[in-house]
Amino acid sequence: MKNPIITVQSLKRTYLTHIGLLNKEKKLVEALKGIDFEVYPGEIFGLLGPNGAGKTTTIKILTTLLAPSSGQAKVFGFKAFGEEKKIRPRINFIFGGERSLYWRLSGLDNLKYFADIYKIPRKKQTELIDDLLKEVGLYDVRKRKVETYSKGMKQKLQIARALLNDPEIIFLDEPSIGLDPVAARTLKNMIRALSEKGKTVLLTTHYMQEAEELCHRIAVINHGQIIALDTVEGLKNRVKNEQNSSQMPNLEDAYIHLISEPNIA
Amino acid sequence: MAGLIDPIKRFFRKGTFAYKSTFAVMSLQQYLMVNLGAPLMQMLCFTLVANYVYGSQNITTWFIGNAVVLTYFNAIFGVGTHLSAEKSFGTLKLLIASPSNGFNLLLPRTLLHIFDGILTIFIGLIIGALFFDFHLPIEAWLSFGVVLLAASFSAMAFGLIIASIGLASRDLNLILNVVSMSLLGLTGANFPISRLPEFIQPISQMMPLTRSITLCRALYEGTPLSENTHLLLGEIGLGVIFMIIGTSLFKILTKKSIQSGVLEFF
Repeated sequence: MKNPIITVQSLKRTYLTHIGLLNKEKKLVEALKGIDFEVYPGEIFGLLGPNGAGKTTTIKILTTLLAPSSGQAKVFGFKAFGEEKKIRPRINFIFGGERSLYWRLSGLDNLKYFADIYKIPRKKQTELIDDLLKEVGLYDVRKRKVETYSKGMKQKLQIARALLNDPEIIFLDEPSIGLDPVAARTLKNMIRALSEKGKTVLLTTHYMQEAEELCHRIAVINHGQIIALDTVEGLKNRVKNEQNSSQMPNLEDAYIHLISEPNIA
Repeated sequence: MAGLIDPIKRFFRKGTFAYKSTFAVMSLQQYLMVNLGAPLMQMLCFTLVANYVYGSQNITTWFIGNAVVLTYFNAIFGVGTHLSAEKSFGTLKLLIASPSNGFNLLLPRTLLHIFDGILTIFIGLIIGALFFDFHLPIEAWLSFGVVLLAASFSAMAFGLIIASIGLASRDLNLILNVVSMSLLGLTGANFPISRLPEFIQPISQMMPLTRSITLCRALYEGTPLSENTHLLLGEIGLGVIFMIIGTSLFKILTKKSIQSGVLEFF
């Protein structure tokens, strides 16, 4: 058994919000209520859950962009808050949507800029960037400004950007949001290819088919708690047994059943 | 040798890309209207008001002050808004989570603004030569250029402090306006520092551009730079201090934002 590359133990995150102007009322919102999971090298690990369940909060903590309130989040055995310098050069991430790129720059200049940010030597940059642009199918439009790109092209450019530093772990937060079926399929193929190269992928998505096709294991998160963690088949079997059904549910049915369960501990 | 040159080239490329991505003009028309038009019109406005208040004999003094203070446009609205612009592009998190952090992320961002600021002042001086009888002896131009470089450097370093505050503030515009008005009012560009209330005068001395404005006026009046090197060193020193404060503030506020979960709030 390999050692986990990501370890999350009793992870909690709370936010303090203020309501009112003069008589400010403090409110504590619990985004994560103590979650536990492990991710192993080369795995595509899915994190599924409704909006506001805590998926993005988990990814932000693991990508060193948010400090945990309590508990542990370790990547490569290093604390995500406190030892982030040892983690950052070895990971990369993509948050869904069209932001996170410089629209005024060309696709090529975006990659050159981030290559400099990641301190990739100039000698290596040209070949690396050309290869990545060819891999994601943007080589022919590399000199066009990003503002002229379609959503799918922007997402492909984000993937190229995320691969610049040859990360060992890639965090993908709803990467296929807003993509047409062809672009979504291309993205899935890319994620699969990354896994075949030995990269670890932590993926959040609302598209069950995508999760079913890609993920080796899935954690279902709801109201800041992990309510199920298993392989796709394992999750389906669990729901089949709970429903005493003779028919195997698909992942979407299983997911809806799981997040509808009352009184989850 | 390549190991030494590559970081230097990288520094300049990072500066150029950061400038192009957040502040750069998209066309010549835009540059003339926004980057030049607005600051130069402001310079004309304040110089003409000064002309009315102080009389035409003193006009060049106030024109020089207003020309030098123009560099604040790049410092405040260029460098100062860099990080909040990154927030709105959704790219701030990518920069924070990269191996480039703090000094080597922020310093290149001032680079092109320093030169852009000097260019704006230079065009302002040409306007002064045409309309306000501004004539500088040829032998004073080099000294004048050195002072403008120091002025632009300290102003951009000051902009880094504003940029870092942008990490923690949701309403940066309020801060930008207060700071830009303070520079117009307290650096001596439009009002003699000696006539400011006593408790405000030390604040003037802590602001960028105050010394440079005094220096430029002195050069115009024929005093060589060698007699005022303490002012030049003061301006450069202030720039270095601003840069250290800006970078430290960036590190502190980044950590604080990660703890409180407001890194991407804007």
